[in-house]
Amino acid sequence: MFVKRRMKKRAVVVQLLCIALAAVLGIFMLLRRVDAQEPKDKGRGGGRSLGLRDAGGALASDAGEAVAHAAVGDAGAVGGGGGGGADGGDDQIETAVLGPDGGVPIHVEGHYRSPFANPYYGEPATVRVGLVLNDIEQYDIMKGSFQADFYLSLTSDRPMPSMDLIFPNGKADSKEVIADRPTFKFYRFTGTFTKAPNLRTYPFDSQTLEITIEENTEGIDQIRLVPDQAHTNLEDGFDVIGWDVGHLEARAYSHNYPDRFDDDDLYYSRYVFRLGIDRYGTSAIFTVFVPAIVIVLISLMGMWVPPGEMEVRSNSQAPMLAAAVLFHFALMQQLPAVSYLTRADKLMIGVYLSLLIGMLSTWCFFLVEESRMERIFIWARRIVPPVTVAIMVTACLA
Amino acid sequence: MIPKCIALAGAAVLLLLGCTREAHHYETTVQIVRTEAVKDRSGTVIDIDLEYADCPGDQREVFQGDAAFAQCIARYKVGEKLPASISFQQLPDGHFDSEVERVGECRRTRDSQDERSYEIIHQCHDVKVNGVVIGFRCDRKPSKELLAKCPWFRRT
Repeated sequence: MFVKRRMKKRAVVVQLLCIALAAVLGIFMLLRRVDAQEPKDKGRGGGRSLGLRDAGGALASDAGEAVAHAAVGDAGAVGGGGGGGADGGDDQIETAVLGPDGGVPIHVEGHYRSPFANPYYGEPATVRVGLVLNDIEQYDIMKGSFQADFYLSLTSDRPMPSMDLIFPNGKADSKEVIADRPTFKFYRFTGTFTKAPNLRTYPFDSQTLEITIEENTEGIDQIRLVPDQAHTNLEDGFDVIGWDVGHLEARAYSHNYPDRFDDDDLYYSRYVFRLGIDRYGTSAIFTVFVPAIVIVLISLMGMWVPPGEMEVRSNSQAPMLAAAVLFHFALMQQLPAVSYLTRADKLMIGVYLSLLIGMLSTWCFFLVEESRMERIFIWARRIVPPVTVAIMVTACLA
Repeated sequence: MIPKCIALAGAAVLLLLGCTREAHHYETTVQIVRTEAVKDRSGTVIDIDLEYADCPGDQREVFQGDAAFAQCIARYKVGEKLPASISFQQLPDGHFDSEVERVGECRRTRDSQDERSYEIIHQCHDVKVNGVVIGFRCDRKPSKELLAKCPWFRRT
């Protein structure tokens, strides 16, 4: 019955080429993964100590959000001007005194020793921060960067000190001062910001775009930022192309840096605005899941090709492996290198396993007596499709 | 015996009827938050902000009405709670949208060219860390609780 056991030379070449291509691309992808480092969770345990000194105040010190961030100079400083004292914390330093050994001048009065503390300021101004987001452009998931255009309002119960705002996770590209009064300041900013994407659930991922604002020199002994819910919103018709807006969030906390100099004990008020966006599910299904499932289905069709047509049967599998690796490679090109498996990766592992099982069933024909080939042909059809379905269901749900 | 072509045609008609985007109408209560008559050389329109009193969260409708609507709504005061009619329909692009058709006794006809009107659908709650409120979070997607009570907020 089954007379053609050996594959033709052409089929062997096709098989070897496909497997070689898959192997080369696979090694390349593996190297990308090896190079990738697990992004450190900046929000956890980075700070020297927790902002608990001010636990009784209007702003809670958020232990989990104490960000270790020493490169203040990198942040885009955007001096507010007006208001009270001079920029750069010069006023505070003037009242600090040098110790007998020189070094950093400190304040001997008040709660904080830092030269940027102001023990003579009185009660700190509570500043309500409102933010209306006009637009988000050029969201690049490879870099985690985006451009934001927003209005920022600062409203306080008493005159604010000079406001020297910085964006620790980005920089301001433009700033327009619309109002600048001691108790009310209103700006329009455009800037570029970054936030590392979380791709564990890709292509069903949700990302958080973050705008962080901090006062550069005045600490919590002078101002306390508080989110202003009534004046935090998205502009009418706001949209992020390719994404669905899920939520917005604003929070403020006291932030302290690791010691940058002696007696660097002052806490700074930090405001964080977050926009949660979700990738469209339908798009994810059609761009990732459908092609992967089609590859597996075409490969499964080979199960119904008898051993007599070995060339046809084998060509339904090895080329599909190459197609799967190419597809996986194309998917990975759209994402930054990450050290964990995304849902798409898990799906592709399911695809590779399914293809492997199909190829093994074909290779069995070369290992057994001709008399047993028909039995293998029948059993392969009985076993491989259900196992493939089980693997793919698991991979899809993993 | 029904000929096969008639049976197929009947099935197609039933299928088409099933896919028709029919508008649903709901009755609810709204509260007037703000009204602002906007006078122009060519006429008067009114901007009105409404809150849905019976719906969970802070659902807000901001729309513009024509001169007849402006004249009618002037009889009501800011803060007043009024019955309202809402129409809810699937759009040709597959999304859903709702429109306020009536507030109190004032009927509103939406101008298809109106790009001014919009609604804010969100439910906010405080963000607490270590038991202290440090901010807030507003979910922009309607929750199950909201859709159960006010189904016209469905959008996808």
